[in-house]
Amino acid sequence: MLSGCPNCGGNKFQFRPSSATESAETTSNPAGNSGESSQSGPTPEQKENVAGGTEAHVEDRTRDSSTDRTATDQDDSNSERPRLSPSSKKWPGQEEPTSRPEPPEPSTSPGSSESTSEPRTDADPTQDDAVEIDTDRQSLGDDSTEDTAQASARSDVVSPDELAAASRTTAGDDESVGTDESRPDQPARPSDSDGKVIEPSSDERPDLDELRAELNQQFESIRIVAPGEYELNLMELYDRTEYIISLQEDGRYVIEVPDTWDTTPGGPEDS
Amino acid sequence: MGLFTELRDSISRAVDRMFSDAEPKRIGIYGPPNAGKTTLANRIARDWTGDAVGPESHIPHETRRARRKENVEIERNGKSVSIDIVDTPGVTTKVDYKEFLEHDMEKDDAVRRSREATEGVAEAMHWLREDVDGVIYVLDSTEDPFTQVNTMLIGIIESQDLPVLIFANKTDLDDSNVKRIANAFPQHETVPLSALEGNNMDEVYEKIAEYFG
Repeated sequence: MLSGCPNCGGNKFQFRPSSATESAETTSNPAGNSGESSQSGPTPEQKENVAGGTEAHVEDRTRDSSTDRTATDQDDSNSERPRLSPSSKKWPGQEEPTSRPEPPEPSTSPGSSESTSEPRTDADPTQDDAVEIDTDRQSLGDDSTEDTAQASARSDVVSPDELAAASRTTAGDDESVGTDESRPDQPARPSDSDGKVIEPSSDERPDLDELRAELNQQFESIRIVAPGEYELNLMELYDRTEYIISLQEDGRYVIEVPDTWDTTPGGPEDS
Repeated sequence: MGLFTELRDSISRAVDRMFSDAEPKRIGIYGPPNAGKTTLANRIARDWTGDAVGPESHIPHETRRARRKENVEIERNGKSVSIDIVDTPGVTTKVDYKEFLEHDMEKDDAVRRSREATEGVAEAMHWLREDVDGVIYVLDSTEDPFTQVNTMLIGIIESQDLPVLIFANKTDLDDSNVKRIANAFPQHETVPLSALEGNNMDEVYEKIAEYFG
């Protein structure tokens, strides 16, 4: 199933087969349901939630207080169960606030409008799965770590410490969650190899560029040191479009402007 | 504007190459002063046209204006190659009139020669930018090839994607060291020769026909 990440501006999607989620649920369920993890979770979510997060948290707390999540799940349709249960078990603290707030509401307050909101919850839980992945990385460092991992980290931006921390946390996630969670972490690993590859390439052509920059800073195309003594900047002479025809005794030189190059080859201008 | 100019030049160069069969290619003979560029140009011109290109001299910067010899037909292995030879002033980063005083030259003449030599370098660089289809880079094989000028010019030529042959000249001299030049620019073909004595000119013409034909 293709689901979007609500906290990512709709730019991130993750494909999750329902079978995989079910298997993950079954495996994670035994070890996943612990009140401790659910309690610790809400605080990171509060940081993550950009808009309307406070409301969700309040709702989450009410749900937590309600204790029986499974009961609410049973109330929901069968299709909803697998999605809701995995998210609650795997990421009790972090994602429950966003995903669960809506499902419990219908259970507590039986309104037709709320029942219509349940289908959203179906989508939300899956979104929560994607959110979980993001939160994994976010828990490692800043909110922008994911962007850097994909873009900037490929050019040596990621520090060794961050990588070490990432490997630890991902290992822990893999144990608890399953293979689906380990995949998103993989992009950060190749960044190491990418950074190593870039370094040697930068050593290849320093000569000409450095020489050019150095000479261009030294003087312009022709420098008259003294009468009869000249220093020439070959790169500048090569780059300039004007054609220097002759030098004057006072240091001026006669050039031919490019516009007149084709029409009047013999028509120099004093500069 | 520079980018536009480069784009225009590259397009015009590509178009020129498309019609290479119709027009002879302009082959610029480049190198530092006193490498034997004019001697080589005269050797090639005399061998195939009977005329000379310009006066030769032991005094550096004898060639202070680019000279062109057009439609030089070189026949090699049953194949005819037509080129325009452009003998350019020696390229250097510093010109000092006192260098010419050592050759029994008056100061006024030395100063004027120095100024003209500087103009010649500017002209040579202009030719390289505007109007050359290939380069014969001539080096004095008795001199150290690892110089700023050589590195810079070869770099410019490579950046232009111009075909280039490196000629290790003056092999008739005892101090000649062709291998040193070949090692300095391993990415290019180095051809030993003595333009003055006419040594190894067969290989010179074979390479010219191969690279610029």
